[in-house]
Amino acid sequence: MCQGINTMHIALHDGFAGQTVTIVVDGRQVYRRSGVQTDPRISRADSIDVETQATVATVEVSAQPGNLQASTQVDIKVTPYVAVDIVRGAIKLTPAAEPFQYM
Amino acid sequence: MTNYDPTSTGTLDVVQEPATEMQAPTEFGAAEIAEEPTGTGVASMLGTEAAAALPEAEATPTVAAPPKPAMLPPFPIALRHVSGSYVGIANSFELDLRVDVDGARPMRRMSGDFVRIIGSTRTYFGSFVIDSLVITNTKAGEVIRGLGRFTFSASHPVLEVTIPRRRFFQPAAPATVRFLTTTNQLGATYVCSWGSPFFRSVTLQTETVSDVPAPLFTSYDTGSLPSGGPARTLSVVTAYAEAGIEVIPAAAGPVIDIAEAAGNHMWSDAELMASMATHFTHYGTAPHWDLWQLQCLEHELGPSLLGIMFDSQGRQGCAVFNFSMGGTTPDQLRTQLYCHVHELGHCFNLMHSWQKSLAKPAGVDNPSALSWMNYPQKYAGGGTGAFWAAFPFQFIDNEIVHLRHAFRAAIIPEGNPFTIGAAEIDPQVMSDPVEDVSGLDFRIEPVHSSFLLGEPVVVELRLSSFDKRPRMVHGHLSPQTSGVSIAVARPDGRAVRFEPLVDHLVSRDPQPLQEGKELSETAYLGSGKHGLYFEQPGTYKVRGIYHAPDGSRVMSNVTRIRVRYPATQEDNDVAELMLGEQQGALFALRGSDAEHLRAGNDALDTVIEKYGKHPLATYARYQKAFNAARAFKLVDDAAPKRLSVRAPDIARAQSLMNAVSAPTTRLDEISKAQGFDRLAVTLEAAGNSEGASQVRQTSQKLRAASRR
Repeated sequence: MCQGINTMHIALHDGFAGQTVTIVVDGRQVYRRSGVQTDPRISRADSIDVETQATVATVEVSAQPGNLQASTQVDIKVTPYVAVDIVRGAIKLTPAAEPFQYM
Repeated sequence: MTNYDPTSTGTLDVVQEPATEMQAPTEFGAAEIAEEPTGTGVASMLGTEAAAALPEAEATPTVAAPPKPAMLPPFPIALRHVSGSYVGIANSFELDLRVDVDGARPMRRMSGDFVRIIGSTRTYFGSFVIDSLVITNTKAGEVIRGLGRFTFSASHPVLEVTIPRRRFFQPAAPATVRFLTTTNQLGATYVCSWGSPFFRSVTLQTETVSDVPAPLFTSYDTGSLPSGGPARTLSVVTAYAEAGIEVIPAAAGPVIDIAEAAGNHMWSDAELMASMATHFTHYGTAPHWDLWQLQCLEHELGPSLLGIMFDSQGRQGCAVFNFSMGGTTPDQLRTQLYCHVHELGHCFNLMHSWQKSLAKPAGVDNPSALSWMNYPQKYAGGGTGAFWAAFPFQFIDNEIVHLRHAFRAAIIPEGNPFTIGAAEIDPQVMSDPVEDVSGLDFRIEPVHSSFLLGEPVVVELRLSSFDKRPRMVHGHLSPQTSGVSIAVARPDGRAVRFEPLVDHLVSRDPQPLQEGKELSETAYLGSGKHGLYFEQPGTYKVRGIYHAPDGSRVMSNVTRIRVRYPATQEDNDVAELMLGEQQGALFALRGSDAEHLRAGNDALDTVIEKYGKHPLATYARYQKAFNAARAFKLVDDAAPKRLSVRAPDIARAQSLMNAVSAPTTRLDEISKAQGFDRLAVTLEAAGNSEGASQVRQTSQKLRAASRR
């Protein structure tokens, strides 16, 4: 059976201050970048679109220094947008149904 | 006499209250009831003359008088609000006062800015705000009192403001402002005339890019969709008017060509900055109450970016992007209004609702705020739908307090003052002028685009007039004469006033400067009374003030001076030999035979002998040449008459000056000319008039070359 391609949009939002951030989706590293910095004008640091055949994916985000880690399961059909924030020293993952808008 | 505390003088300058127009009706004041006129006889109805013209009535039999009609109850007459802005002048200071105690959404605060008036220039001095007020109604009027927070050290920090209550049809009353110590000793008094019901005013120049489809946003009816406030039609102007800020639309230029976005229709921050610098009428580096907003299609970050305040340093400009929100549906118009107001809020230095803790000083994060500065999707009360259903299209109270009463630098575009770290410099020395009608233009520029570490930093100072009438000036542009002050902001953020090693007391004989004419001078800034000023690599900022004969303080541009890191070991070695307090003194004095500067002279000799081909050796040769060209007197107790005199060494001076004046050296033309001038004086004194004349011609050619 041919499965469609689903796109999940992962956006790094608030709290990033130069960390090295790694994103793994279903065990596959899809993002790794150092010096990730939130732009306070628009509360956004970076983003990535991940294509997958899965409809439910496990998203793991880690940030160094500080050994920060968090993961969540995302129903891509329902909430294909995932916000990643660092809040009070911890990574917070928030799936959403609507695309993010910045201003 | 100079008075640097606008709260402290006890002298009262009474300002004549100007006539003002009647303002709109205000709230009813129940205690104020107009009295009906008494006596309704013929005379009062017709006037005494008309009554006198009437024939006398014939005597008639006495008849019982009809009962008098019942008196109508008196109408309550609305009182004017006292909130708004006022202006008064006393003792060379202008006070711009903001009273916020009644009217729409009163924040129960007062604030103000002081502007110092000197000659033809007005310079911002400082601000204050009073967060807690005691308001008393008296026969004299509304008395508002509180302890202020000031941006400067105020000797009289308590304000007492008295504003007589007036009826709506009467002209606005002035506000009498008294500054007091905490023990009620009276300081300065200002009588401030009513200015405006708004607390601040800003012009807004809105431009559009050619690829943005019509129609452009104008307004949104908040009743079109469910919301949390009263239905009304809002534009950017009326949204900010509700917050007490007057936004004055400024004339826009022609539509901006999309070609300025280099190759595609997506804009980068750099392109937006460049476009603003090109099209914004009020673009500048000094604080000013003017903003620029660009309507474009899309940012290079993609359609998810609806708007951005791209000018994060100056906060002069912002942009909104119509790609995702253009259109005329209520939802689209609502988003457009929100985005326009939100981005301008950033220009006023408002942060997102959930990020207030990132501000300096830190505020309190409030992700539940129903505010223009939140993101609907981040609303902690339930996300986008819940936000719109409850949002009343307003700022929250803390944001209104900021908009109305923040210290000037915290809100005005380009507000951060040049004097960062003002503890080391009198803060008002480098305050940007609010107004300058002196007719003079003062420019300061470094003689090189960048300097090697250890290289003497020299700037060129130029004074010109752009007034058709001749302006009276003095010709002393050197900071040595105190005709000019210079401030230096270092890479580490500290700002210091340049104080020359030697002060020259001169007579400032005024002379007329015609339109288009110019005076110029160079000044060495590397070393002064307190040592070296440019001893670290990095970027410095320098600004000058010209002190005109009438007292005006004419500010120069801000110029950047870059001191480069040493590129080679030789650069490093030479920099170490050039950088020293004695060497700095020798450059400031253009050489010296003084024994206490021997170590400095030895270091510069080493530069010439061991690193003769290095570019900086020129400067060492120059100060040797200048010193050799003059006689030098030393007090020597062992010498006859306690004075030893070294004669000029003309041959050595000529040889060194010829070496340093080659076109390939880094020495600037004016310094070369000054060296030849010194040599010409010595040749003349030695009886060599022909030699002196030839040298003067060389000097004139060099000066002419410097003007090109």
